[in-house]
Amino acid sequence: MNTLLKYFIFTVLLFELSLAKGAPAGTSITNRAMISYMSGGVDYNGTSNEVTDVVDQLIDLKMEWIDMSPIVVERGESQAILTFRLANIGNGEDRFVLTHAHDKNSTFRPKHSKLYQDSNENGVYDASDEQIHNVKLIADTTVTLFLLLDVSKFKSDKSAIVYESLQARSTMGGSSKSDSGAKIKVVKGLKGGVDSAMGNFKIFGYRLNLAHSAMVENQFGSNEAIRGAIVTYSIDLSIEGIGEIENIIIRDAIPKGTIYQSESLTLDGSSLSDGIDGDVGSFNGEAIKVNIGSMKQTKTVIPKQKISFKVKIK
Amino acid sequence: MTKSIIQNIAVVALLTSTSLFANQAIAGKVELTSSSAQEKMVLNAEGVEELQILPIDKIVPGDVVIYSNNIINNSDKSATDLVIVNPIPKHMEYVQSSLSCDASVGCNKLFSIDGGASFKERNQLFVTDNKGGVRVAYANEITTVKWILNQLTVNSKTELKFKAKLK
Repeated sequence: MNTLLKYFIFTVLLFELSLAKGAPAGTSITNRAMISYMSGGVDYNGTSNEVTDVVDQLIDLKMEWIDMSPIVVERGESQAILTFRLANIGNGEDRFVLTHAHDKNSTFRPKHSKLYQDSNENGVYDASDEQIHNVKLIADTTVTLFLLLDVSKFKSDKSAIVYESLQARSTMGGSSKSDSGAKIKVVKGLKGGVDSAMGNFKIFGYRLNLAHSAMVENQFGSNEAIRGAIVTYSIDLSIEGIGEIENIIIRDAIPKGTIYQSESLTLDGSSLSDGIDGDVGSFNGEAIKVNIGSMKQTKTVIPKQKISFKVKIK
Repeated sequence: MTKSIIQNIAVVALLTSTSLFANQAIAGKVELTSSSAQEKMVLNAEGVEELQILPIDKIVPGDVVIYSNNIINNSDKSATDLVIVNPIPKHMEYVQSSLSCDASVGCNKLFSIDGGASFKERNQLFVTDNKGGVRVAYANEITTVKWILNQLTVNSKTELKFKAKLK
């Protein structure tokens, strides 16, 4: 996901959570009333006894999967990263045990997983982030977590979707102590001190391959690249794996020191005009452009496309 | 001479002690006792859930506390023009329509949004919002509550209550 967008979302979520404050655990709540009255022609006033109650600790948390756009892993990549956020929305400090689980609805199972804390709080996983299995949070604070999954063993030609969940569980017992050392009770919120979130990502089982080649023919009939020689550049398109790739547009800049040969652009041997007209090709003075559209490969259909154009060596 | 001086000192001492008591509730006379409790759904003897008022066991944000002020007139004279003022405790917010008193004694109920500097009836408690408009104050803007009782006769008692929610 765009890093700047992640920073923005990070800031907005932090602001929203900072508004959800409750009375901190261990806080003394005191109440005292005052009275005045008249009796026998005399005015009297005084106060009641002071009533003090101590706020106990409420255990509550929220786990969210916060990747805002679909996570896509290209075939051949070794890992996928899912980003979660854990918030302590109780009123006291808590330590949460973190557990990851692979969901059975997935069509591929990653080999390994590791969990990291966003130690430098920059919203992206990097080498300075610490691997963890549990995390301590004071009330009304959050932590960003990165779940790294090893997908290097993905071999299928088909795409796969992977579901992974991350759970946090409070470790607080039946009682705790306030900052002043007073014993306070622990109350579990509606979630019972446990929350989890599910993330997912897709692994593409196919990709577009582009193979470039060049053939030289000079005015003397040899393939020496001398001044005046004609170079024919070719780009061979093919798909690796099963799937459809849409909106394919190929651009190729004319190399320096050469002159594009007008009307030399072809697609699968058919001429394409240099101007912008009804066909899929064009030349803008600096680069050729061919709008291929979609290419779909199945087990029985193997599409291939070939683009070529000529230049003269100055 | 000595006797008159002693007598004079005794009179002065009596006057002094009376003046000290003139502005204080005298212990054993009209007593004001505050307490707190909470409502809980509890299984009764028949196994049916019912709402009971119990001593506070646990209190966490969102919980409602019932504050009670019990007044007993242990004196030999009626007490009149009783005014009881209770600031809403810090970290708590007043629960709408929870201010109460014994119907048999009756009371006037007033509210403040300025820390007790002024009091008004609930439907007369106005605030100016940030757009310059005027509205009735929200329950969580109330800072102090007040009961006014006309009279508490000899050996009688009454209970005043309100609820507040822990923020």
